[in-house]
Amino acid sequence: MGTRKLSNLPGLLALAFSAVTWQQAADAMDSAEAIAFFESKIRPVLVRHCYECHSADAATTGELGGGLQLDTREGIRRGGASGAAVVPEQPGPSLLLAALRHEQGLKMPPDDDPLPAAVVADFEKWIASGAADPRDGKPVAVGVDFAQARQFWSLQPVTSPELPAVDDVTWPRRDLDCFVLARLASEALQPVNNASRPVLLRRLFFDLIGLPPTLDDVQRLGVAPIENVVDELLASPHFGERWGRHWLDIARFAESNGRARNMAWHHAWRYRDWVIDALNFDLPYDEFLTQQIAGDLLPFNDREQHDRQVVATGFLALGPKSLEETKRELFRMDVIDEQIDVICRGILGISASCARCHDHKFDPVPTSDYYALAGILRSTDTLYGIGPMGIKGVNDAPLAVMGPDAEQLAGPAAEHLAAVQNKTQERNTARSDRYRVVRNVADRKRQLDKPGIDKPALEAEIAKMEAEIADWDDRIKTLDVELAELVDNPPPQPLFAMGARDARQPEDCRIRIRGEPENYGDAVPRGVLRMIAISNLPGISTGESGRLQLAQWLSSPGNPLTARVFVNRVWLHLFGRGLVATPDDFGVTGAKPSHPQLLDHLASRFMQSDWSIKQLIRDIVLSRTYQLASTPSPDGLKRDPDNVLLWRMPVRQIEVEPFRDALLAVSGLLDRQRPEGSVIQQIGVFSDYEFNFRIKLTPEMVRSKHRSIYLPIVRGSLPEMLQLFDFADPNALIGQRDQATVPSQALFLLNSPTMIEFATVTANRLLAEEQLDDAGRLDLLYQLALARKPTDDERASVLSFLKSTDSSRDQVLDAAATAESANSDSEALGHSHREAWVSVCQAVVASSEFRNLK
Amino acid sequence: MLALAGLCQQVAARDSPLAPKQPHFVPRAKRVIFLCMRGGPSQMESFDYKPQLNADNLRPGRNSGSRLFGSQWKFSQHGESGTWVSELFPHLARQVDRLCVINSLHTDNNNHPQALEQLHTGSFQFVRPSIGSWVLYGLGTENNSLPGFVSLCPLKDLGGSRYYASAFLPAACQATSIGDSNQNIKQATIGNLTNPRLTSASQRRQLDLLQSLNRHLVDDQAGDPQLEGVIESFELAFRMQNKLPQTMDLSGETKETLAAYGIDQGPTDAFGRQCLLARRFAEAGVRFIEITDRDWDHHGFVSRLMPQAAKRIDQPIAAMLSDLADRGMLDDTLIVWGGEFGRTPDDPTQDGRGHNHKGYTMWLAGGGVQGGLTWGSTDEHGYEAVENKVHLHDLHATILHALGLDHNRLTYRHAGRDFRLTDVHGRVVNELFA
Repeated sequence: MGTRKLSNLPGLLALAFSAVTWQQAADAMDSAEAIAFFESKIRPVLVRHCYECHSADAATTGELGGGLQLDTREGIRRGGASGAAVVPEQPGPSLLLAALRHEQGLKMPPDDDPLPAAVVADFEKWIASGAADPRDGKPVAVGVDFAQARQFWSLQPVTSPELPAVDDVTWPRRDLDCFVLARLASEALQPVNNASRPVLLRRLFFDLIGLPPTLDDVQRLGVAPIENVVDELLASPHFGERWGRHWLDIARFAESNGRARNMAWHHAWRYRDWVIDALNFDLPYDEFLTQQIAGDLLPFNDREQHDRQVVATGFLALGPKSLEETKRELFRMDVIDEQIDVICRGILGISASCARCHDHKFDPVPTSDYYALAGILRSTDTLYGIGPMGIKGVNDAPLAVMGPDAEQLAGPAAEHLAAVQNKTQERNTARSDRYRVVRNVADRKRQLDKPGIDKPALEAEIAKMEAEIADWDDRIKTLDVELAELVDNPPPQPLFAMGARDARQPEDCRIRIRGEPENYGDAVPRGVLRMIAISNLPGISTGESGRLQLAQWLSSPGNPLTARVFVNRVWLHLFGRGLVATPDDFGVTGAKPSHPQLLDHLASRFMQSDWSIKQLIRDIVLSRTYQLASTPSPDGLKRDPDNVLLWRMPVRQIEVEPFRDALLAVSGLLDRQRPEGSVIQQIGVFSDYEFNFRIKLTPEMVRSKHRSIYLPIVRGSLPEMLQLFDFADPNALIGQRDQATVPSQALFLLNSPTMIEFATVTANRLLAEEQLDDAGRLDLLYQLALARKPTDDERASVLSFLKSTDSSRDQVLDAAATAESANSDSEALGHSHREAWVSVCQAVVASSEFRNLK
Repeated sequence: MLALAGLCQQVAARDSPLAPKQPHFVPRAKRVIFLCMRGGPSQMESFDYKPQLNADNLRPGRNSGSRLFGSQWKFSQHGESGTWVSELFPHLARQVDRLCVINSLHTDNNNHPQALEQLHTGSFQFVRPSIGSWVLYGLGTENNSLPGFVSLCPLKDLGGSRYYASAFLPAACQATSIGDSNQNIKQATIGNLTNPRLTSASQRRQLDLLQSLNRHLVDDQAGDPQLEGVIESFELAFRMQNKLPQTMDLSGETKETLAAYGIDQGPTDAFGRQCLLARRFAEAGVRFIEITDRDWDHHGFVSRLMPQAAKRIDQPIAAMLSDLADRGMLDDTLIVWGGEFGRTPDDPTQDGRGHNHKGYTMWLAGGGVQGGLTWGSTDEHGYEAVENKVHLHDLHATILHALGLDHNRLTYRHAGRDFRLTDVHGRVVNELFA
């Protein structure tokens, strides 16, 4: 008790002293004088510097800052998100004063120097003397009016619109065509003709499985009913590899945490494979989402089903993380923020992250709703694993354990891990202890030359320290051996996966004022965003995180956003442009749908057909609209250059994965099997993968002949081709990839060893066809690469290119040497002919037509 | 044919994210050269003269177990301005009237990777575009055969690639990196810049064949601008194959110039080459050039490492400043020197310094800033900035300001909101400008 009193003494003294001054100030000012003071010194400052953002007007126009209205007495005393702005007679807790003084992290007016000291002194005087304030009236209510907010188009229930009447009843093939044709007719715009069969076949192959049709495909399917083609492609195991990758863009899939200590995630690939399998299996989308949010909490029939569902929750664990962040609370809130972002934007097309710091400016997401969601995720353990090199990290987390023997193996494996980490720490401590002595020796040695130093004593000290260093060297050597022994002899390991589980003690999350991790406001009960009300959603009991309820809310047919957002994503992948042009933003700042009824038609059909993704895609690609030609009509180009009205199929550039896969396919190198796991697993869990924790990918790791979805995805260190050709940056959710055209791409296409290798292998493949002449080989190349025959002009120009290259043998850098070493002229000619074919093959696969779908 | 080519270029230029753009107001500088000193250079050994620290040498320091540690090197005043410089930087001391020294920088994090990320992107928490990408996005590029943002010897460790990346800005805004910080720029090669197989003439013929195929699709698509852009990008790439090696080729520089930069003179060679290349890229119209010296993290052996570090950069930077001035380019080139933070004035071992993000030094030159000005100060020992504090966000705002860009208005809409380099912070330090 005594101590407490003592320690409070200065504070009490200060308070007593201040109280006297305030009292004096108050005494000096009677009420009329106080009001006059307010009118002359305070009100003009408020009007001039504050009202723009802190007034009823600002609240009405949506410009209100921090929920703070300073233009009424009640408003100024109630304050905003951070608390009371003015506490009469108490300058200390009056945040307005702190803001004017740029104290406590507050700074008003923003972006300026503080107001003159005299003005600040006036405010202090005014507050101390009782903050006389004649301004009656109530602040404008600024809470979110949810009923009003739900009038917004994307929050209204999904409807099943009647099919509009169309004049040309022979045009629509599927119901969705009616919406497109009716809209075109209303704008008096004619759709173009159907695409030719070769164009359509190539389009379907790339869109559905991400690979070009083979010669055999063309032969078998060239005249088959188009339904058969589509059904065959939907049933192909390559379907999941194509469409799974689209989802991985949303899930910001990567195999490393991506920040400064970029650690390998050896088990992330399980989630990748789960997504591919789910799409191939046509797992209904509501189930697909539920498993990713709460798979670990779902019932299961057997261990394998349970394990699969746990792998699905990898969705929550795969985000980028600053594992080196030493502020635990900041780290936790950052992880949660990232999870909220991927859930809200990825599934609902709503950005809620702004509400971490303040009520969302545009969309109806108050801060309290953000922290309701945050509570669910705070009550969830995110399982992403440990840092590299056996170093204990502040933010280490376990992994999910799986497999038939998980229970037996988990314990010993965890003990082994702890032993390695402890031994590593012991060794590292020894290293730094040794280093300290080394530094001291250096220090002492510098003093040797100084005058007046007791040299013999110092030398003795140095000798002693050097002996100490030798001892440390021995000690470190022993520890290194012990550590290697431990690392090399692990017990049998269970299977691991990244994922999520409920925390032992679920808890509600407290609001963080201005998003500052340790600036606490009230706790908010765990729950979902109130902007979407789903009836009969069960409550969250104390012992559970609430992820099941969250999953239920997301995947409910009554949720107006989930189906709309997803069918729009599918549409985007098939037409290059969403019906809503901002696929990740269905909020107030997003685009409005070009065809609202069509969007609802697709969304309602999607839900009615049990959320079947394959059914949805089938429906769209069998439509007339999808099967239109891409060649534009002058009228269409003039009146609707962006093809918003869907009068044609636009030319679309294929993404880097199908581009690379097609290069592999055309050259004959492609291995169509799924590889086992990921090459990331070759990086040792405890090994020193590179100084500074940088994951090093060897060229062999990225030279895979498997499909590109299986390439290693290390954040900040993507394989060259992915980096150059607008792969979705795995640091963020990407609903629509960039399509940059930059010279570094052209340099790659022209000069890279990769492209030259593809071209060389392709040329060899053509030249091996000895029964063909050059014209025949060219036909074959065009068929393989572009799924068509060359035109007469093209044939003529390629043949003339080949001929002129043959006749000038100095084309190729090493040609002279080759010619000399050649046994005969004809051999030299053959070599130069081959090189000419390499050039032709490279030109064809580097061409725009190869990289685009007509 | 010529007219058509010109037209293609215009079409591509209009649609390119890198087309030249008007700044928000009349700029002072057209380009930036950022001299990144990775590790956190010591202000007490360079530009922040602390006599009281020397006087209080060996007294207990604020950090546990530490004692105050005065500088081992003499400071004196230089130039007409009388700016204080330590004896470790004799060449820069002679040009001190060109430097605008800010002794009151502060930032938010004292770990290297996070602080470096904030130095480059404004944020240590989230993946955000590099300042060079913002500048390129804001102003576009005026040269048509080189990239607009070049990073020489970039840092590759600890997530370094993000320091030069465009994040959510168009991919074309990212830096073209040459070499890495572990090697001399002399050894750097640029990926895919030369064709290993064809002579230039035969590559031109192959390109003609390729462009005729491309043209075929463009015709089918009635001159689609994206596809026209592809044709132009191949031509630009073809030009770059010549232009970039030319720009990097120092053989045309005089012996005197090479000597002035300290090239082929032991310790100054590596950074001298970078400085000279920076000047050459600036001349060639590159908008943002970053060069790097990586070894400023002196926890121990300050007495040995600090002179080495100073030696590496002092003469080359001074040479670059005079060279730019002689060519009339210093006025519209903003030079920015500094690291991710500074050092502490105390240390347990008396020959090292810890990380200090609460007060440190950076300097600017050229680009309309007031040469000879020393702005702001730290406390008597150099623990914290106290007077005229300049937060890193303020520095970012000020750099953009020099380029005619308002940091409040240079925004990019992403994920439903408008992002800025300075987030919700930043105040232009107008006093730094002449």
